[in-house]
Amino acid sequence: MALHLDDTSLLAQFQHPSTREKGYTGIVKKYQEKLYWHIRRMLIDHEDTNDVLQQVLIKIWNGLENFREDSKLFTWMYRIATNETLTFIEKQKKRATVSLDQGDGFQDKIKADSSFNENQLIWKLQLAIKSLPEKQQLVFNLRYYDEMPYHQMSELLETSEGALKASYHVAAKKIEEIIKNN
Amino acid sequence: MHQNTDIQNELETISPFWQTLHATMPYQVPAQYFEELHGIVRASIEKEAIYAELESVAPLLNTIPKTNVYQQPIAVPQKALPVFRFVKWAVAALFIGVMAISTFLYNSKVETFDYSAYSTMDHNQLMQSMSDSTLLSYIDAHETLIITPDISIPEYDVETSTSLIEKSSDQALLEYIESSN
Repeated sequence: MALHLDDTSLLAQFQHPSTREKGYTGIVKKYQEKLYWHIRRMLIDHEDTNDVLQQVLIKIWNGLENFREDSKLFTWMYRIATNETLTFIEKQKKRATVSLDQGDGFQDKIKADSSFNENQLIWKLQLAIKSLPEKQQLVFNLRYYDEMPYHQMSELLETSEGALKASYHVAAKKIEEIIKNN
Repeated sequence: MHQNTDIQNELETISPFWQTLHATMPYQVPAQYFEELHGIVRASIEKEAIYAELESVAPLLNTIPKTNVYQQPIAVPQKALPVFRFVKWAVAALFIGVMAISTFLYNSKVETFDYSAYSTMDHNQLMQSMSDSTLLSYIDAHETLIITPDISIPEYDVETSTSLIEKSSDQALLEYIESSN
């Protein structure tokens, strides 16, 4: 596992013109996988995820100069990734409406995965998560997969910790029910 | 299984069902994706910077596709090896050379005629040795060369001239003499 500098050192490198490139590279390499999986869980498809992630990393490059350290770098990057992904989903929904396509198509995308196995619990979980409302999916994924503390999630989603906790518990119960009933 | 025990404990308080699940993702990522991603993003950033630069200077140019309008010439396969090409040119040069030399030699050829033989010839004896019929046939054949055109002056009519002079006035005769001079 690669060792990464702490965010403060990486930001200091980025702020200096001679080490800007090095600082950005360090930030990308440190967070690219986390950002990728955060987006992929919402979009399912790798190509869509790749498109959005590239946009996110470009936005990070453009915005990093003005980044104020009143929020954590990681939280700031997650917010960009979340907003970009939700915007992408909205665009997809509009396209689906225009083409009279039923549903958001994510269930189909999961089933279309080359390693999909409907009998495996791990795949049932994916299908169940995708049947939740978007906000609940987001909260559940951030807590369950990214193991994000509620205070950080609160900063990211601009929602109270209590509301997030409630949302997470509701989501977990719904998923359990869906899996048990199928 | 979760690395964070708080999260694991929290799930277990919701339901023991969650003990049976592991927080792993079943999706695959293409090989070398994360190794290559940074380079791809850097290239995109560079491309975007070039676009933004042009947008601030001449935005119209950004609306024109950057497709190449020129076409490469279609490669024609070589019909003969270079050595055969040389032979072709060599044959052509040889032909031209032969033609030039022949023309030169033909044009530079001077016909020689032995005129000195005429100077030593005895013309009288030659004429006497020829028969009359030979001479006549020669004259007939070369009539145009031998017979001169008719340049005889018509006979002057003295009588008519005298009567004309008599009939003319002195004034007219003087004018004629002056104009003749």
